[in-house]
Amino acid sequence: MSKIIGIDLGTTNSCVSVMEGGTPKVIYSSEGRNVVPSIVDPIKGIVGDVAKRQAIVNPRNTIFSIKRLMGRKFDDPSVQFDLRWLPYTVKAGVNGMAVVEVEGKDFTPQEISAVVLSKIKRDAEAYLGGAVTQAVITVPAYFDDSQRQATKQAGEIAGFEVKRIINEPTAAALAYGLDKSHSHTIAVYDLGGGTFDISILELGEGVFEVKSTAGDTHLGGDDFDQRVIDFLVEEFKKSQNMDISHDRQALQRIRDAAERAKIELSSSMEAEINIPYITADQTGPKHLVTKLSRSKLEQLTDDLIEKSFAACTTALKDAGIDAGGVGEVVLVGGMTRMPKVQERVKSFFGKEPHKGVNPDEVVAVGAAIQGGVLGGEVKDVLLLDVTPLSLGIETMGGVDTVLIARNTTIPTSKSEVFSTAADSQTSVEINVLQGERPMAADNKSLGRFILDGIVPAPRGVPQIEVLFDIDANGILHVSAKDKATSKEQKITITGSTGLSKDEVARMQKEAEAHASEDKSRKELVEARNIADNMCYAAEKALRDGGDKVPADVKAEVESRVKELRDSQAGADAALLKQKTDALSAVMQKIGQAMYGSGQDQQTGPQGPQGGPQGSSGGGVPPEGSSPQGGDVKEGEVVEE
Amino acid sequence: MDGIQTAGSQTPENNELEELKKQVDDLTNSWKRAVADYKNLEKRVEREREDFARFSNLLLTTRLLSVLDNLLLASQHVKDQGLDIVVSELKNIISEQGVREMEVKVEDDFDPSFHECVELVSGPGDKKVVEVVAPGYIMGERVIRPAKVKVSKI
Repeated sequence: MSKIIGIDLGTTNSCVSVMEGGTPKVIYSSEGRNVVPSIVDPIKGIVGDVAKRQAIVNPRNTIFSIKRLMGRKFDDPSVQFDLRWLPYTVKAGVNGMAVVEVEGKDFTPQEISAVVLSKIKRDAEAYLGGAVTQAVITVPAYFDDSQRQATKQAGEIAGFEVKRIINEPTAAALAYGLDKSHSHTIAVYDLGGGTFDISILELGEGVFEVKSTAGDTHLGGDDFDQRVIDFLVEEFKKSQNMDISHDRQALQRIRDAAERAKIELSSSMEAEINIPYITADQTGPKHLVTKLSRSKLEQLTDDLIEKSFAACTTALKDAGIDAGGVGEVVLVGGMTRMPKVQERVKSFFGKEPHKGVNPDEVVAVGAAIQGGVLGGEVKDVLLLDVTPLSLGIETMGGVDTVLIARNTTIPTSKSEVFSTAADSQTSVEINVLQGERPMAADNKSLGRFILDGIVPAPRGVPQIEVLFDIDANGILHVSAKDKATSKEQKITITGSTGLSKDEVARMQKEAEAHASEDKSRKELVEARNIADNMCYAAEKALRDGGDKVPADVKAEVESRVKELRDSQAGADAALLKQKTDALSAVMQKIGQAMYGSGQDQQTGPQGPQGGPQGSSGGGVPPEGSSPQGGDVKEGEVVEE
Repeated sequence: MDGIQTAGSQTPENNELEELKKQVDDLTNSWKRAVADYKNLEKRVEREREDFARFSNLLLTTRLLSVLDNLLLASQHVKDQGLDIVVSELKNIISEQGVREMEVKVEDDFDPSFHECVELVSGPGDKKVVEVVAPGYIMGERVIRPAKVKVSKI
């Protein structure tokens, strides 16, 4: 069965999405863009970006904003308003409906929109590799029956079976999964390229009902761009005393730069605008070089933003609620990327708006989800559990080394090879941990076991493979195996994923709250481990070097080692690092001395190294972590 | 009626067997589908990674095109051999990315598939390219940037 695609048939741009493997995916156009300009030349049969490029050459043949005429009578006041600025011919057709006339031929808005939809169909077929015949198409919430019928016809002309016409705000709410939320009143704030819509929806029994809509059919990103353009032209006039407001080519470059600057100011506080050789006079070429700050942009467009909230107030009043009665807010349209817009939406409704989904795509995504539901695909998706919290083991210094990160889909397994922390260590303890905090002591211990019988060897040599395996029922199996002897120990933990929601939320919250303090604690432990490792390496080097190491070098190294060891417990991470670096520097002298004393060096037989170390309670350092090892400090490992 | 079983082949054991067979079938099916999904995902990730590498290069190259435009403008104003060398070096880097400049000549017919009209000027001819304001670029079959042209009208 072919897939049902979701189409956002917009005034300025259109977008298409489809469900794949249970998630919505936006289909890119053959031009490689996520949206297609809703622009058509019906005579040449060209559409999208290509039609846009010829708008200046064929203004009377290049039909854009056709959605403004869709399903409307010619004498509709809104049509009468629009035909004053639309460069193509609009007239009354059959039944007094608005149609466009191009080169003596009449085209209904349905036929024009069908050209856009046909292109979308071709792009979707190219992507999906098969025929696409079914679609869900979105319309503004305020569209009346005639406008909805016209949209459906447009789909049919393009060769679609239109499975459903849904409201744009409803689609946006679906994209955020709000149909499953507990909140009942949803505000959808849609500030697009040329139009602004605010819709208040009410959710009951999984069905969205439109309580009210308001908006401004001529307010959008283009107005914001125009403000920046005017500002730049004015700036240029001030600095160069030249008026470029009639120089089409200069304006074109300013327009591009203005839009780029506007977008840049959504993520940075200041944008540089450089347009070299914008024009020239007798004195030579002129350049436009200026800066635009975010606050200046906000100042330039303040009244435009405020205008949208006047409509929001109307919509709330019509719905019979106040801003506090709105449970969820959804942002749609590219302009909602502007931080000031988000800020004002937040302060107006008193809550953080949803904004994770790309605001240019969110309506199409919601339509695809609706299509998935209608096609049975969404229902069909096997819902797999995820581990709500990270799972790991305790390693040297009381650190929680994570093997399976939170949000990993189960069933899953992961293994990692660890080693001993001390010379001649004959057993390791595996402490299985759950939680997001970096230190073992702060996380929940799910269980522990000891693998013994490890053949005595220098630290870092034994290879102990630790395997975590969560089966489909959420049961965690942990095993540890000494690769040399194949000796194995294991533990099975039930209920590792069966935490209550509250418990998970609490643990995540705690992790967030302690994030910075935990980070510094972990850094300190790491610094200690590195310092310890360096001491170990230095002592080994001195032993191996024996008499070849000059006495003064030996004395210096020994004193540095002592200094480092003494400060290990008390010093902070930065000081430890400094002392470690100092030791590392003097250690090079050992190397130089050895190198200088000839090539006949043989590492002496390994004598007894260090004192007998406790073999249990030591964490195991991950193998390959650099630098490796560190000794076991019995008192340091937290036993609970 | 509780506990009364109808005679014939519908014994509880048979029922259970049928049930289990069906379950095995279902599970085998979903398992195969899951594995297939995974294989397909692997392929797609691979493809997307390649696309991504190409695409991110393309993004950077596209940004460089406007720098090239400005350098070309500069070289029109400043006749300097050094500048010309810089321009040709940048052009080389761009063409190494598989991006080539479109051939657009004055008096070519205006073709919106490759050209973007930035201004209409009077004659000569109708809908002919009068001046190339900024060159266009193609990668493979795809227009990365249309040539910006002035077009004639009668």
